[in-house]
Amino acid sequence: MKHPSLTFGRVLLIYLLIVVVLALLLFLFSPVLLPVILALLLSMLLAPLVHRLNRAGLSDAQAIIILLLFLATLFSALMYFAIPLVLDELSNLKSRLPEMWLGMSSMLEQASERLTSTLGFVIDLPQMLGALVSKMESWGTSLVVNTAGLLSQSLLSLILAPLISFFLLRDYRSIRTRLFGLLPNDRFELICLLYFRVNQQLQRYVKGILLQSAIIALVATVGFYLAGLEMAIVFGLLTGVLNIIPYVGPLFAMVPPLLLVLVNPDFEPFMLLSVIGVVLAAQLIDNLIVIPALIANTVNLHPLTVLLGVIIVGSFFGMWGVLLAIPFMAASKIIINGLYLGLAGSEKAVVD
Amino acid sequence: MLKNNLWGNLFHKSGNWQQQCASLWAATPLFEGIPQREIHALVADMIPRNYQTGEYIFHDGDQGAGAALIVDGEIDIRSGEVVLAHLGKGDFFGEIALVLDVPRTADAVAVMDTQCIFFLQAELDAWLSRAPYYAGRLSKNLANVLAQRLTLANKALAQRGEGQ
Repeated sequence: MKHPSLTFGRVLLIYLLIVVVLALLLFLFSPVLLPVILALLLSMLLAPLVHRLNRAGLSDAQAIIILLLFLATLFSALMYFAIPLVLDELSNLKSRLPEMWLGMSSMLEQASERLTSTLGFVIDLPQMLGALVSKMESWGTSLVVNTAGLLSQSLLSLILAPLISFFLLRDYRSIRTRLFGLLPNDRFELICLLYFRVNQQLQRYVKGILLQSAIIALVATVGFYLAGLEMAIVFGLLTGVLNIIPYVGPLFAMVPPLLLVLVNPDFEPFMLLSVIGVVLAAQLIDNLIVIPALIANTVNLHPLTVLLGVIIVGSFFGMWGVLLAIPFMAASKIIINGLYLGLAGSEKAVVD
Repeated sequence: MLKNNLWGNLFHKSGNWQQQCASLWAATPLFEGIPQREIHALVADMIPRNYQTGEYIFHDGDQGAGAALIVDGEIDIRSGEVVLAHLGKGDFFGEIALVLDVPRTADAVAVMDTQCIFFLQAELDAWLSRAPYYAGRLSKNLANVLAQRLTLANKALAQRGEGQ
């Protein structure tokens, strides 16, 4: 005897219900979204180490406290050295922004003059692009100011995240087992399967992305530093972070260092080529080594689906949408496939 | 009569109950040679289920998430109307789902009020990365169990062939 088959419409309805519940949860947790996401990442990364310490004879709580204390010490030491450097570079960038925009305006004027003399009629580039330049100026300034503000706001997250991750690491498995216990008998195996598949794929994706960003940030920072670019750390970190956004992220990452080189009064063509070379080299390493080794098998999505999905979800939900679009689509694919094949009682039953 | 499913599932996992489940698993060929403390740690993450008389534990063609052990009660393994096996307390079933993502090959039906505990494939995978030695041992035991069942099935087929 087989389970009664489900129509695709019913599967879609169940899927939409899951999405609505997730959206509600996101809405409810929105005030603490950053610390919760940080805590989830922290728990995911620490869980194998907790198990290892468990096997060495420590209790869950002892293992977690030791690991969190070790991490806090490491993080404090890193911040002690890195924060002054990054803040210094950010304030340097902030003070140089007016000069950069001024440089850009004069560059546009020069280009306008050349075009006018070459073509024989007046082309007022500064006027044509004036609105765009002033908008970019306000974006640039607010980005720097917001980044500095975000750093101070992150302090709350830095306190909350380890606290949440302590409880997640200690109690997550027992809470999960109890929640599984609440599932109806006839669907519990399928829901468990879907949960573990989604969980496994998301974990692999997130771990891959984190490692990918770290590698690209390191390559770009070292590259920019060797090329003699100012604020190499800020631009290197930015390249690593923006690399999370598929396809267009690396292009955005190239813009600030290129602008810095272009608007420099002592413009050096070699520096321009070096910056482009570093970003391209980072992309090459990313595409030839990092992606095939770390990311390729984590999400089984068509490149066009990824590109369109990121743009569409990003246009509705901003930066969070851009970051969460790929894992959301990957999880949706597993859930819809699983519900359709699983609840319908296997492929064989669908044929029946 | 079993307790209400919701509250039963939430609160019935006492220490004694876990100890009982660990002892039952330890007596199966699946956990032969695996220390009690390992089994006890695994049982903490296993999922208990209560079934009423006549209720299906799984259907032929369902996606299986893991193996189940009967903690209390009795079940039938059926293919259509044919009863392939009658299992009781301490028996386990559905172990193919511990290694393969294939649909269930038969129905499992509770013939009286029954309590089972599920050992999921995902937990076995996680255990393999945490404790490869013992999880490897269980995998070898599982291979033995499946090989024995295959041998029995082959013999049954051969006897049926001779009878015709």
